[in-house]
Amino acid sequence: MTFRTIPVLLLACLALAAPARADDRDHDRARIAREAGEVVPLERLLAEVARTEPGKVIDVDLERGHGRYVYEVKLLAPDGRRRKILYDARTLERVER
Amino acid sequence: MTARPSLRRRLALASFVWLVLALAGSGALLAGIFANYARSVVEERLIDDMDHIAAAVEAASDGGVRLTRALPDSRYDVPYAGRYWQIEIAGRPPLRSRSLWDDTLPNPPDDLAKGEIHHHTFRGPAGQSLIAVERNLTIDGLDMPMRLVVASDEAELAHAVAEFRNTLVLSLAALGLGLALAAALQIHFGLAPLRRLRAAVTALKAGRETTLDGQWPAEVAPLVADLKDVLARNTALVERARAEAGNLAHALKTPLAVLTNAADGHEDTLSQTVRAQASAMRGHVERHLARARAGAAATQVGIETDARAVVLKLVDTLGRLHPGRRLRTALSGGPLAFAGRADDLADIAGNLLDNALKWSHGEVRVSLGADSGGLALAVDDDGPGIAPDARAAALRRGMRLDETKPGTGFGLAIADELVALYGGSLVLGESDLGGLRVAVRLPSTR
Repeated sequence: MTFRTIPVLLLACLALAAPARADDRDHDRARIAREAGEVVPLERLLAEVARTEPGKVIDVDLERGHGRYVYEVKLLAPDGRRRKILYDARTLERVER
Repeated sequence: MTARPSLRRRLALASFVWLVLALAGSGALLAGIFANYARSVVEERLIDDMDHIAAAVEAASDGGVRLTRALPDSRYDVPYAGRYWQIEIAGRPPLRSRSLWDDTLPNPPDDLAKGEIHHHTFRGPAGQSLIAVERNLTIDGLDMPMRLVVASDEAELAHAVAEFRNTLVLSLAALGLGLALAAALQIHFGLAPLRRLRAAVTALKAGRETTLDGQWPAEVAPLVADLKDVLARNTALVERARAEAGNLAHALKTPLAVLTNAADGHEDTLSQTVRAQASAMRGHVERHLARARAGAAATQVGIETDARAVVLKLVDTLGRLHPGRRLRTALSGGPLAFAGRADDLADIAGNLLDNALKWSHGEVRVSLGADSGGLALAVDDDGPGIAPDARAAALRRGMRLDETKPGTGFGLAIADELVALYGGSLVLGESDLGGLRVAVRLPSTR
């Protein structure tokens, strides 16, 4: 391949120009919160989503606001619409933003 | 009889054709299955990447869209590296992966229903052939649907498929070689009974065997049975012809004897003519009798005669008929098996001994031996012998070199013809006893 030498350089650039994500360490937070019993395990969330919402889960975030954890699920609905659904991380109740 | 292609060749050809067809067919099938599978793996990967883009895309402040996260595969960022994505929104320039550099992905004239994923193959940057998946996506904060396209260079796939195909061809070739070898062994093993049959028939022809006994496979057994039938019928026919020839000869012998007796004692021309012609006729009768017998033997198979016993019996009988002669025998040890009938051998040896005793002054020797060329019979006498230039004439039928001696003039000729019928040879020469030496070679069964 012509560009074999370039990727290393380029990867370094990419790392520096880290994408504009609110918090990249949310999976560490998720682990701590789960062990503290503050959130239900992700698999229960996914089971709940699969049970109630049609479509394919394409991303999950864990956010903290107003003194509680909230799961943000990104769902690709069968009609091509991407939906964001918020769940209380402790009770799995739907939350409006 | 024209030679048709051998059974071995037919079987080999059939299994070769079948082998090639089966291997080529399964090779094509396997290569096709693998190509399809590899392609579906690539497409799954593209759909994963498309989902990743769908999760990361957000409306931008300028009315367009932006990605909040980069795709994990660095090939989307290296120019022309083989992985591309593109987001199209009506009325705006498309958002493209960095790998597309100065190019864009073509926009397939395709009507995408909501949520459907379509598969395409089209030309991409630097003439690459691309495998692409595309879908529509609607996100909050943007009223218009966007079109996501993710593509991969087909060369990568083609390389994997080609590598698989090479391995496949090599493996199938090795397999084919092994199977061909197995087929050859199978043919060899399967045709063994036919080889055995051929050996048995050869042994029968040479007289080592008299029947085609033994266990034969179901496919060969009917053939063997038919062959036995033919042999039996042939033997019966020959026997009947022999019997008829013998009957005819015997029927003629008595009238000839009557004619000879009637002419004896008279010296007029008629009587002389009758005597001479009756003698010639007796010679003819004897000769044809011998011929019928020998002809029968030549067409019959599976006959073996103990030559030693025949010669000893003959010597015993003739020795008594010619008490004044010394009849010596020189017989070699070991088996002396003549491939023919006992009475034919007795005729040959008897005629030669008769001739020798008739001409000898007192001593006759018969010798018998065997070597790889067959039986060797020789009769020597101490008589006058035959001059070299007269030997060929001596073997002509009815030729009497000395009209004063009694006889039909058929003795040597009959022996010569019988020997010839058995495929042997008869040579006249000079004996160390001083007279004639007749050396005969005859077929042996050993």
